[in-house]
Amino acid sequence: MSNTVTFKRYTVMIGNFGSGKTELSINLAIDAAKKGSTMLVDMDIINPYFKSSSKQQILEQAGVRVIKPDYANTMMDVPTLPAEIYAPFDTKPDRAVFDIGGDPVGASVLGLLQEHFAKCKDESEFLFVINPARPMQSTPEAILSLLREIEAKARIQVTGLICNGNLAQETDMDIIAQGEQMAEAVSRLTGIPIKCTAVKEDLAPSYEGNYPVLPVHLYMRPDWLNEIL
Amino acid sequence: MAKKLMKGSEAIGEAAIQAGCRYFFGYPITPQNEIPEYMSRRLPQEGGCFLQAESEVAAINMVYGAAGAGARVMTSSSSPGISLKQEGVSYIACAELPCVIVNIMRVGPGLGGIQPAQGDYFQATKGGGHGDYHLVVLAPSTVQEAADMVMEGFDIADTYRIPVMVLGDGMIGQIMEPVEFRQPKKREVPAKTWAATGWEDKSRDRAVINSLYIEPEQMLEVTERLMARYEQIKQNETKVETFMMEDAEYCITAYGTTARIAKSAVLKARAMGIKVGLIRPITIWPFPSEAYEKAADQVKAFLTVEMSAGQMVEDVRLAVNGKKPVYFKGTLGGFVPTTQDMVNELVKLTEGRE
Repeated sequence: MSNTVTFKRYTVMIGNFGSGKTELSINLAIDAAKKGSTMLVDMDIINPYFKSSSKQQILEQAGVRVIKPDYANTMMDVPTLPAEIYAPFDTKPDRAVFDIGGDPVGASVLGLLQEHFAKCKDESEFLFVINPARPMQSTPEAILSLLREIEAKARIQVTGLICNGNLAQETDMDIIAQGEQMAEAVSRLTGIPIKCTAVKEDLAPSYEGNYPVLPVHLYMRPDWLNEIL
Repeated sequence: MAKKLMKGSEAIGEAAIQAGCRYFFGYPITPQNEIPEYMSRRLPQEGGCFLQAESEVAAINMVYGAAGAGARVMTSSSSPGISLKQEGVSYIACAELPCVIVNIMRVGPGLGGIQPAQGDYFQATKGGGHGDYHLVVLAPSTVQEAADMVMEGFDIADTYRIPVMVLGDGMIGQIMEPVEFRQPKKREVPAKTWAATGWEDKSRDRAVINSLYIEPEQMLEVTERLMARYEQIKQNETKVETFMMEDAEYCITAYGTTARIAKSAVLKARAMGIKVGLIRPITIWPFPSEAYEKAADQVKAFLTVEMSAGQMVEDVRLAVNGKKPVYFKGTLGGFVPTTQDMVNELVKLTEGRE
């Protein structure tokens, strides 16, 4: 099965750092910009490097409006957000993708927008990205505990799971399948449905699993990372 | 344990635990906060002790204490925090104690910024603190290597009773890559009969941990012992990687993340017909001078690339000893050079435009 996945107007990516939120957010935004007005809201104030807004140029060339922390991509380690983060609710673009920092502290910034999301409940979805190849994320219980912590801090409820089992360049079908098994276990424990499986674009055509596929282009990887020393 | 996708900082934390480290004392600073964060979560699970000290100065002195009691202990910081630790590092070196110190370098001088840099090479390899001492300094280029070096670093530290520094740039601390934890090659690590763990057994001398030697004869004895040990370390522990040097007419040289970019540049330049190879020091103290001495009889010129204003280049020049020109290309401000930057420099080199 590989139906195209459809997303709501407000798509919020949450999960453990390293689960793949940033890469997925960029992919979603660039894809959405082909069809309508799109914003990417980088609300990650805990990562010093590798924020989605570090790809601002690529995003803007694709027609995505990028909203980012005040001092993102500078030398400053100052975790503040601009008032512009409310723009998606004022101007209602066709799609706004929110990329949230990868732990309960990072997710607490979502609380700022809680009232706005509450007003647009039917148009909002909160997607929890699962990658069991991350440390301390290798059991359903550990993932669930993080999910609940993030929900509490962010004052939202997760509406869907994204299977994103990956080991960066070493991802293969087994790793992807392990991601799905883990997401299925979390889904059984919580009743939260699985939204889709993210698959590196080169592997996507050979995917034979049960979920809609989200093909992923890796925008964040520097080319020299391919040199294994 | 299956491969995990980890940030360099997390991998460093787990590697220390896998190596039997149960004590971590530190103070947070970007871009290595994930090390203390990881240790604060993991060490209690292993019955260890994570302690966020009131300052870097306190943290390094806690390391001094734990090392003196024979424990495997680690601290980590980034450039300005490592500067604060230097007095304690010198004491630990003088007291001949093993420990692992991780420096995830950010750009400086001063408080500088949080972006990656390699400006602490002098500090790491030429002293940093006062007096005649050295650290063994290991320079990882990948997350996997950072993990391996931390694990082996504890063995090296215990074998030679010396502080070992793992020197990574901010990129090594922050980037995520697949990593597995594998035990280093087996060494005969001597028992810590010198550790101050009480004096139940009166048949042995009291264990005294000290770095104060008022009598010049005593101080001389200690420093001579240290110097002899450093010679031994140079013999046994120097490590270097060479890549496509066999037929190279030019040599690019770098360590850490920069070496990885340089490797990529070598491949690109080779595709353009430039015969270039890479020398990558894996230990930067001891420095692999021999590799350069050998290459100096073969290549036309050397190009050192660093995320600094030119530090390792001095060791390269000492090793090449005037036989061939040694050029330098630095990247400052916290920027990371691109493969293309380096290819451009290599082209200039071949056209004699340096």
